Amino acid sequence: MKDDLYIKQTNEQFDAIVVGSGISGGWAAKEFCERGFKTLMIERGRIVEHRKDYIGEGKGPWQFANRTKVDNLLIEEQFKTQKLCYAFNDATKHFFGNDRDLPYSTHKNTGFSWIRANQLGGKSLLWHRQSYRFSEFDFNANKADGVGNDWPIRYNDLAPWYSHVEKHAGISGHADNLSQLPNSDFLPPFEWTGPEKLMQERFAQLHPDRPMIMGRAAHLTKPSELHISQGRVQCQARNECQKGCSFGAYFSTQSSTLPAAAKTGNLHIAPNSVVESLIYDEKTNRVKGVRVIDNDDLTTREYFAKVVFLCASTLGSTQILLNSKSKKFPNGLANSSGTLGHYLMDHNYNAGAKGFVEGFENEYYSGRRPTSPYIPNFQYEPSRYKKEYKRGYALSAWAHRENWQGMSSQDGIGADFKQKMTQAGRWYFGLSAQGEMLPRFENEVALHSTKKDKWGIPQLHINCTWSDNEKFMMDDAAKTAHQMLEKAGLKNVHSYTSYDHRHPGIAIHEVGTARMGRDPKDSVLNGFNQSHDIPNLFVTDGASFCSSAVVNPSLTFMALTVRAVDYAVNELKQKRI
Amino acid sequence: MSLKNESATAELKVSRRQFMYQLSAVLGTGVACQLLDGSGFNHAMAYQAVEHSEKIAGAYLNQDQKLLLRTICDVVLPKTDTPSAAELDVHGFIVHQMQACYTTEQRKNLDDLLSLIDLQTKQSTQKPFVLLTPEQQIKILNNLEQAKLPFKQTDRDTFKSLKQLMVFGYFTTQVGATQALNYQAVPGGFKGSIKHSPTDKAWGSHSYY
Repeated sequence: MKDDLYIKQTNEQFDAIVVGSGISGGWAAKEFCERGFKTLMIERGRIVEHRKDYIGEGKGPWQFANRTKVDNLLIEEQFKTQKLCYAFNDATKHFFGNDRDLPYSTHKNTGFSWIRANQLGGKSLLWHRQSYRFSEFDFNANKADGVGNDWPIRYNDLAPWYSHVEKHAGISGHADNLSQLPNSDFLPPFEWTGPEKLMQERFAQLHPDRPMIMGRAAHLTKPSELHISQGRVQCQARNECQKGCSFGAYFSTQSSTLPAAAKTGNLHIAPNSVVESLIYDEKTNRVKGVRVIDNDDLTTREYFAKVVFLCASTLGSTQILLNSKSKKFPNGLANSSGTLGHYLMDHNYNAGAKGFVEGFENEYYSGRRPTSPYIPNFQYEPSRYKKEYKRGYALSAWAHRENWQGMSSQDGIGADFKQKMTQAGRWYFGLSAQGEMLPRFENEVALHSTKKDKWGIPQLHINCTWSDNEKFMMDDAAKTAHQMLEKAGLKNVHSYTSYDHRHPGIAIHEVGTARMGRDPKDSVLNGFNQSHDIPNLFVTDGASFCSSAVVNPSLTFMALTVRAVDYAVNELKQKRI
Repeated sequence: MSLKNESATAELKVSRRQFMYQLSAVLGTGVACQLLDGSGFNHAMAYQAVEHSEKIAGAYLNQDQKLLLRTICDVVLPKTDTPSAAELDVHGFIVHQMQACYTTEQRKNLDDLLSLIDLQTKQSTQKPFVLLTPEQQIKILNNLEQAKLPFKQTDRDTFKSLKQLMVFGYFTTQVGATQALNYQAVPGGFKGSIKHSPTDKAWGSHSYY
């Protein structure tokens, strides 16, 4: 089976084509394959084999050319944007896209940091693994305050599908029973440090509306038989996940969905296949397949299927649609509404505060926890909004003891200074805001009128900015976090905002641009992620979002995708598509 | 070691045994052991410490400057129960790293700072820095760190950057990370609270550098 997993040329008509192999694509492929559908997963980049290709894993810093830092010239020439990601270093850089080969432009006086991961597994190898369900309030937000279009689905539509993916992926967390952040099907949560527990108690007294919980993450704290059967074992708390994890302890395509899909014998993968456009048949009003340009030698080929799922990442999927023009769709396929490319959103991670916790000198932690405490959005309905802006933000929290990385800037020369560097320093505790970004028509991605990439595909041109709503929210978040820490008794509290120099994109939660909706006149997709215009075309990644909500989006990519596959399979069986 | 800590350690040992069992079932024992040891990885590309790297001519800093840098490294991070910075060739690493990962302006700043230290030392003591007594060397570097005349705030800033790179260079060597500090390649799980004495070594294993 393994030998013919990867294919290049074929005339076969598949049941389903899935474009992309990241979090959404992996799930789409698994679900189709397990339902007996012959599936072709198309990946624009190279093959990354689980374990074998995790070349940065398990190394100490002394084993890297520049002790994990990346060479200046290489950054300048190839990774100018990618280097902005916190996880970009010498041990992970091979999983980031190359900025030289993947150019895009931004509108005058705007910026957008587009982080790429074009290889088998996509960003599932690099993600931060935070996993939260959207709540009823999130699906209702656009309707409640009138910004953006109403989501065509509600929490109950997605709840069983959240459960479905959670059992397979493995989500650690505690059942906190919060209406603003529904429980998942959990594996045990990670432990708290002493100062975090103290802060949790103080916040509970001072701000009962802002409970602090343990961050929920796609890590196997206690693997089930199902996880072990996937070839995965317990998380060892290295927190070096983006190097790749041979333990399969965090969810990725490689660790979880790909082995399940491959096991069925129904999966084929076409790597190094850059989708140029979709093949559309005007007579039948169906997509027949995809046109592909080879990543390496630039030759072209085509693949065919009964149904096409775009899971190529938010901007990737929209770029393919925009570049698939026909007589009927001169402005991009499935774009009769004219909303394709519009309502681009990210999350706004641009405020926070930190301070020092007194005491706890005789306590430390062991291991590197791959998640951290979290205060869910506490402005989750209009009655809880601040008057200066709409919607809210979550606060990600963390407590550590200072180490040499922070203390090396302190004064001191000689043996005492050296000794200090070898010891655990003071405890500090911080809060970082994760704000919702409003859906705005003006935040747009389009094809550049002249510039093309090396495959001859028009480059994306992005025009996206923080509006006053986002700026006011971050100003307030900085102030609020500052006050919370001071009231809770921390010392030397400092707060900041950073929206003036950190552009959208860098939260790597880009969503929107092919939104769902009830009305074909103002949305691209219906409530099952199906194109309003073309029945056998689905987009199930972040492009389909109507609002960004506050929580990390990946778990919702998964749930939307499996629900859409279930629907598509039924439609195919009923011969409606 | 306290009782609480012993039970935490015992607990980790048990969970490590279970983990080995799981991992061996999935991967086979050979691969499992290799993964946990972190061995079998190629590191031929890494900066290799050289004895007396300051005597080797290169594109950045002359040999006098390198000797001065070596001496500064040893004053800031001297030999104690662990090797000094110079013994781990941190000065050689700094020269390497400045060329690989820093900007032309940053390289010039360090170059200028070393020249300034040399000049000021010779003016005030009539001797090169490397021949002063350790007390004299510490005094000069303290003045530099405090931006006391003749040193300026910008000199202090450059010195702070140098110190940060020096500390980074020291604790990212194998000796620095695993002997001067406590290194956990595979922690075996996360414990939120273990007993700790203020003189115990900190963790030398970090997620991100």
